[in-house]
Amino acid sequence: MAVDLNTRQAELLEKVARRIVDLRVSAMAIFLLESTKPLSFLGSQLLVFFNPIIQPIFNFKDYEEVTDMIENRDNIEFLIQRIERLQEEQILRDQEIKRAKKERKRGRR
Amino acid sequence: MSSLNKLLRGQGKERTVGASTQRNMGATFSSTQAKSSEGIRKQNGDATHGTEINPSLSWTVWPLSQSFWRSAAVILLLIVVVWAISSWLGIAWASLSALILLGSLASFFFPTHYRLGPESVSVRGLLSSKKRNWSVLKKHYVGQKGVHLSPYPRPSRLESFRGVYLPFGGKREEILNFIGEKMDCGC
Repeated sequence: MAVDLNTRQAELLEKVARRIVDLRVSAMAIFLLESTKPLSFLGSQLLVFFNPIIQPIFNFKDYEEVTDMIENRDNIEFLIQRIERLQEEQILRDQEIKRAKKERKRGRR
Repeated sequence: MSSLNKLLRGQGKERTVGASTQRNMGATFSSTQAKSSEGIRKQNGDATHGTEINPSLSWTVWPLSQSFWRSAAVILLLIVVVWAISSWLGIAWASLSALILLGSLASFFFPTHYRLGPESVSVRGLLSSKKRNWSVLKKHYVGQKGVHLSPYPRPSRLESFRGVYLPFGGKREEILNFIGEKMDCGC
């Protein structure tokens, strides 16, 4: 799968993935992204259409970058994979913390 | 029903041809695999002269042509549902429901092509296509009729949603051998 992303876009996706994992809503996000993947192009065109309405009100910095990224379905897949990888890391970290807590409790006894 | 019977008989013939082609493909696969293992052996023996040949395996599954009675039952059910909707809500809703039902059952009514390549697994149907790199897939579950490849190293509710299901289609051993070679985890 060839993912065509520039550094700025890759950073943006990384930031989004990290935020999703930190909020612990990865399962829901993966479910949503995977379900809407076939409609990604339509979504991007909708964003382009609403650009003149949204931008004067909210003035999002990365609006055009997001529009470009959503256009390609492979970028959504890349984001999902990134979320999965970060989630796996989080699970391992949580397991280590739990183990450390248990050991601390045993030490007190 | 007789025309349906003829149609399915015709598909049966096509299937037989497909099966022989599959056998040929299997033979091709075996030969490339043999070449590949030879290449690997060469690499092990002499790293400078080793040539790596990437084997691939592809097959097609078409459930409609596999069982006459099951296919007839599905088509009959579809006709009954569409007829019920048309008499209840009208022809426009019936056509819409027929389209939705056909779309959701596309993998049953139309052939789906599967390919195990050196880099990725790809599934191509009439309305959708899916491609996953081997590096992303972590685990596989072998069932009676197929194998499920999962991107999660531990059991997850999202497995069936994010994974790839590969029906064997008469190539059980080749598929399992290929997956065994590509994935480290032998689960």
